[in-house]
Amino acid sequence: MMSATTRQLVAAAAAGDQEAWAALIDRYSSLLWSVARSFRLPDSDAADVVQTTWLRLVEHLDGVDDPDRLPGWLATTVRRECLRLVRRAAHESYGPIAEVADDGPGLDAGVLKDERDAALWLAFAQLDEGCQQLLRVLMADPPPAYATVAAALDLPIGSIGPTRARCLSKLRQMPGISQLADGTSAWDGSPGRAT
Amino acid sequence: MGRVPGEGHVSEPLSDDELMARLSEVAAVADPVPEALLSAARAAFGLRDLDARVAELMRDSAVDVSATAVRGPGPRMLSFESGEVAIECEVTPDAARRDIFGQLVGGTAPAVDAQVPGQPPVTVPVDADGCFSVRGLPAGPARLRARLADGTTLVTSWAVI
Repeated sequence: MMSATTRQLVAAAAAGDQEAWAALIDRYSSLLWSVARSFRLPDSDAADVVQTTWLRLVEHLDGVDDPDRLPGWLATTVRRECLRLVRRAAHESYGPIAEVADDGPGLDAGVLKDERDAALWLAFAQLDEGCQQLLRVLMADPPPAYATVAAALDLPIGSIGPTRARCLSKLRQMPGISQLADGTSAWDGSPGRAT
Repeated sequence: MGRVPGEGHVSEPLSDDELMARLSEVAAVADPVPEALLSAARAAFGLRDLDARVAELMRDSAVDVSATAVRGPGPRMLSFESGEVAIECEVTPDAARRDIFGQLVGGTAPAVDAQVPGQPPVTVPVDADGCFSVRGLPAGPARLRARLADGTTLVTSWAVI
């Protein structure tokens, strides 16, 4: 099922195939979660917007105009739901959406056993908000197409590549990571690391 | 990683693609998609409602800034519409609970079901003016469903309340 195209999965799910539905969730949940986190939503709000996006897809399974563009539709839907929660918190009497800690939601490096990974995550958490947002979406697995990223963040598609390069360059210059990524340590991209 | 930290090991620096892949792997460990969310997403398929027509969310005072500017802060207003039938909702928060005071416009129904994923629906009566109220729903996605007098079923689009 994982090798099926998104078009095939949408068609099968619309016909009532629960396994096809589960395969769509496996394929795109990381994207949706990454977008929600890129808006710095805490756990419960992030879960609500992702779940609502899936519920909306269930609602619209029969009306998906172009299944090949499903990732873009999902990204746009989850972005709108994120903005809804962010603005609701800003304009209404719902109170702050999160107790703002030093790090944003999901940015705790404590669970990372490898100190190089922890250093990388800490450095990421110190980037400016724009870079954090873009890179967090790009961390989705499988890697999203730039068109999907553009839909998730309402950015021109042509800006994604250059901004990614600029943000990764900033990341390399962060204290605590420069020595990890400058080629003098074993922390590199050569074969042997887990994929 | 699969590598022993090198001592004096010199190698090529990470390319952008390699660094991005590394970030992706770290994110999968440090901030994974919660398993409970994946389960809930799979279960969402069971909430498919093939018989109902969907009333789309047309207005939301939380995002319509002009509405907020006119009214000032207050309960959140949500408007769902399908053709001539509309469901207007006022959502009032109380910690992690939400109360809905709503009105069915352009159609009649004896009752409205408030539905939350993973829970049995809550049925409340609709009065002669089309008004109904649902108390104590958990914060999160919810929808309303009404069997109209003309025999059709109307269901609102899912919204996070």
